Amino acid sequence: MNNDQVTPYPTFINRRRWIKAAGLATSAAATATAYRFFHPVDHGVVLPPQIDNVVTSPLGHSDLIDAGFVTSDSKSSIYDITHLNNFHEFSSDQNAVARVASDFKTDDWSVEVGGLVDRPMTWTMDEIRSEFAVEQRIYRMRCVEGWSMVIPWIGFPLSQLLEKVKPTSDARFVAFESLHDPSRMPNQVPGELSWPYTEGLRLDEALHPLTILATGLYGHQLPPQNGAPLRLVVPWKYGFKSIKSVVKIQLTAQQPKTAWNQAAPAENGFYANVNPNVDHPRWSQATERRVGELFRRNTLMFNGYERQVEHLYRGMDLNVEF
Amino acid sequence: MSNSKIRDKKSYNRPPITYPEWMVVINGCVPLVFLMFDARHHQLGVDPIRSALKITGSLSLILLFATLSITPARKITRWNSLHHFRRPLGLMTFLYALSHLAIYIGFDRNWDLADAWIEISQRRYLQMGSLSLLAMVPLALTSTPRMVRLMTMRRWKRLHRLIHLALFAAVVHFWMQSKADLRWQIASIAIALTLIGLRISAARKST
Repeated sequence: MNNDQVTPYPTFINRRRWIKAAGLATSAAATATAYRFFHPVDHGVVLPPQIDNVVTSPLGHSDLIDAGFVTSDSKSSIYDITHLNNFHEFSSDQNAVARVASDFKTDDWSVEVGGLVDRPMTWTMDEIRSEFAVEQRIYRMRCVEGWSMVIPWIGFPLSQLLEKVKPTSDARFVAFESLHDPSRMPNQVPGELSWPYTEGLRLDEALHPLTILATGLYGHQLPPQNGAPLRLVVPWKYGFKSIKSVVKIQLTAQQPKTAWNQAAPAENGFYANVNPNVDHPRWSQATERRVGELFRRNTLMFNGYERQVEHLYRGMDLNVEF
Repeated sequence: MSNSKIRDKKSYNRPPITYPEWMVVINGCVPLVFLMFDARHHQLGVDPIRSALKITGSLSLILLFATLSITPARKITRWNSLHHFRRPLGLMTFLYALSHLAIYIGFDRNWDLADAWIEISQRRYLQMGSLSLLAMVPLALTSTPRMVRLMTMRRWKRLHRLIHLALFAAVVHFWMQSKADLRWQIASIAIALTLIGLRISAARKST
């Protein structure tokens, strides 16, 4: 071998350095690709059809704020609202409900309203949609687990529906039931909760103007994971009171049994009013994490609807009747 | 040469960063960069704190497995330079465990140290996580060649057996915080048992 065929030392050392640098860059690129494979960024939101007959409230903005019908808090994103769902009928993983529930069909849905009423009725969803004018309500939603969102619901006051069936003078409570159909709700298996999911309100709570039956959110019909096609929304109570996918509403004289209260009576009261002063046995309820915000914020009495609902609970010891 | 002693001392104090170290540190920082980028752009999903905890926690565990598999892998493949990866891998493990705790205290507990302390004192799985991190502290502190020299190799090795406590506590912590789907937890226990099994069989052979 001729001497001039040997790579000169500086070139050699330089080449080595380049190869090493290229090795580092390649491996870093491979790591980056692997990371994105395991933690993909997914912002896709599939929404049902739009609701086109939303009625604009005759009230002015400040009146709406006074009534609690809208809030000046900024709304949670559609992605967040449709991807953090406690809906155990589909999955006990909050982040998986959207995926598991995506094929949930709500055709031929009907809602039976009866019990202590003069005119028991059964409505199809189409009848409900044409019977009741829907409006937008922007409510805070506070989960008993310590997180919260701001959701622009589309719905109508429950009181309008109750007026149609005319509760008798004996009726003091309203009991709600979700759909019970394990073939369509795959996680409706024996476990912590008994099926169907049930909830209940005192009649005066049910008649309160803030209490609505929602048929949509963000201008669209309710996505399955948010309780399609019809759900209750009671903004001053922990989220589990706002029962989803309602099929049955009964007026009763006795306080009805409710799902989470039955599952863990020491943790979930019948009232379940948002109350920063009454801790959950396993954690404090004084603060909450607003989804999308970095730091926790203080939880407000009755979730900020104290002025509107406080009169319902005068004389009650909220530490006992929590 | 004449001043070789002085040079030796210097090189002991500040050893140059080797290529395997660059490799581990640069690749190890990639997820951290992505994590910060995603957090900044609200891309960590609905529950960003939980995602960040999940990512840092699982990476710490994976890196811990990688650290502990270096010695058996070196014996099996007889590729001796593998051991150059062990120290940087161990330090990256510690870095991720530390950021895991920092995210917990900083964001989940709002830097409320008293609150974090109460939570940790009440919850067994948090105690397990803390134990794992605590066990890593002396290992990280004694990771330099200078510390090995000061301690003597025998005592250094004995101290570094703490890694098995860190491993045990980390796997238990991972198991206890889970809710329903235990597939990854079972896999991690299997890996931990395999690694410890390899250690024990190697120790038996050498005695």
